[in-house]
Amino acid sequence: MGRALFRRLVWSLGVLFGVSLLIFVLARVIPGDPARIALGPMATEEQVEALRRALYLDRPLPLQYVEFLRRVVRGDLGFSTYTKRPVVEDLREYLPATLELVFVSGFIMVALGLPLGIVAAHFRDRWPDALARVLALLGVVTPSFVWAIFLVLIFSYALGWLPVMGRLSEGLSPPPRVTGFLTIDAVLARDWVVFVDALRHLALPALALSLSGLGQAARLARTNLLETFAKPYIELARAYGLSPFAIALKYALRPAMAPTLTIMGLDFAAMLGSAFLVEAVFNWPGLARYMVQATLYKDLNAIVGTALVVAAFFLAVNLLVDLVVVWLNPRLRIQEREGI
Amino acid sequence: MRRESLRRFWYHFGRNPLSLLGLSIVTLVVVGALGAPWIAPYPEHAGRFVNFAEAGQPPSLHHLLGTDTFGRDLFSRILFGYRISLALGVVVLGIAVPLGVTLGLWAGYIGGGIATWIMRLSDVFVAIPPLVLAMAVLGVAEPSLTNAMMALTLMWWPWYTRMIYNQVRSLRLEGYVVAAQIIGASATHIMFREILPNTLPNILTKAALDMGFVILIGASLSFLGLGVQPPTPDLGTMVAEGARYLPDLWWLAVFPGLAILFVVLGFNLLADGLRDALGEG
Repeated sequence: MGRALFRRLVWSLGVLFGVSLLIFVLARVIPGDPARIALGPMATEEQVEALRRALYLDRPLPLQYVEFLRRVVRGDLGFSTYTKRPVVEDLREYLPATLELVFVSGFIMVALGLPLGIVAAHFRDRWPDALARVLALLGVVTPSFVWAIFLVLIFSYALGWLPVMGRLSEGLSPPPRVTGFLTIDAVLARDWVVFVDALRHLALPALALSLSGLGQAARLARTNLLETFAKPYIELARAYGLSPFAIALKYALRPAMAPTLTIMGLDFAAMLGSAFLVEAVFNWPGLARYMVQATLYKDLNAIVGTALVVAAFFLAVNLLVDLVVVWLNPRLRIQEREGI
Repeated sequence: MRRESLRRFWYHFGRNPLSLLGLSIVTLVVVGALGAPWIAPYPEHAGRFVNFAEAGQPPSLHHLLGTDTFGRDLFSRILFGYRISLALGVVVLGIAVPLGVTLGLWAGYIGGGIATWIMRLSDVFVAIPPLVLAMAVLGVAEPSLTNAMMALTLMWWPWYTRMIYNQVRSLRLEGYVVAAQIIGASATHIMFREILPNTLPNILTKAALDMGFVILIGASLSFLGLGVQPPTPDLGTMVAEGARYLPDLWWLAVFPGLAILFVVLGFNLLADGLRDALGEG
């Protein structure tokens, strides 16, 4: 297990290195002078030159990259020319809002998707199955920002059940910042009014974000469950007279979960990208707004930093999913241990 | 022989109502987009047209899907928006597919140092969601249709390289490949005349599916303001602009959104039908 983990970790770091190189080179070869844009047309040539030196833009490209890597290793992503603060500080402010959204979406995907898949497998080729199939197809073909708009129209404007935008209602003061996750901070501060309000604000964006993965998760769970149910050991359990419920929970669910989980992990990781779209609809103060602003100001450090963080998250989730899959499947576990 | 297999393909394809639905949707969109200047009730509304007297009208017989805040007919603009979406898909895949396939054939059949590096490079691309990488690229470039096309092309070729690479690795020891080698056929001949035809069903299916996804991601980019710029009627841009007038002018965001869903659904169903029918053939 240790060796496999180590191999995967090295591979992930290699990919992350590749991504950083890719984005870095792209950011540098595309025309337009970031220093000039950051300072505006009124700045003198000396000021622009000074900023260019401060951003290492006057060095040759390979040297710039080495300098960039040296700082990244020290946890320094450089200075944002848009917010005039270190990029790391900006990320610390905006990332939790985005992550909170993504985690709640992931939870919804699992909490609704898996049961729906189980129900669909049970009622194979009847209406719950058809419902799961339609939902899966619609989920894949509808952009998350379109879901977001449909949901807002129905649940906020037409029915008036849920708030339209933001993370917290006006008039409520956010809890003392510990994690940056409003829900967790509210629980820590025992401020239940804020906690409920934050959850109500999370509901629609999280649902909009989860819908693309939800239907797929249900379909996968269904297919894998049906495959597992066709296995001889399930037949045997049935012959022993175990209740269908016990068979499903104790024997079928776990082996059926492993392949489902791999795809769900990919979907979950991809949510961080789609979160940008949903955030725009709900005016969510997360990474999306930061990156769009950074784009307008040609804020290279902010763009590269954000992209790196998203890539790192993506790789970390995939790594974690691979580990869980190995843990779920005893055959893989033994293989890994014996180093086959 | 070729005609026979085409007939069999049509037989299998035509038996599945969902495939036919997909084909109909795609045909409808393509005809609507190509014929937009003649079909659209108000073709002049595609650009910088202003008529405040008719601004913000709900759907009616006069304006099927309503008008926007400049008084432009939404249905006409959606038809013209499809032109951009399809152009994006065709250009991106038109470059990414031949490029990706050629690199995949090369890396899989000939191999060598550079090929290994190409495969490593594709690892990097595939590890990150395309939307995020495209956003990073457009973040540093000027947002425009051309740059969106470039960014998406850059994101898309590795998927084809990897698919073809894996297929070539399993096909290269097939009898007909070995036979061609023995009679002294050139590597180019073997790659493009012997191996490539056998990978075409997969390429076609994936390309049909990707047509929908390129359109979806292109619309997502312009929704964020990183793609096509107004007043060019792009579906993503239209949703973004319409979202500002929720809930009163709901049709401004809802119909372009549905239009995206419609075309992506069409290509999805078409790809499913192609996969099943080509698999049977």
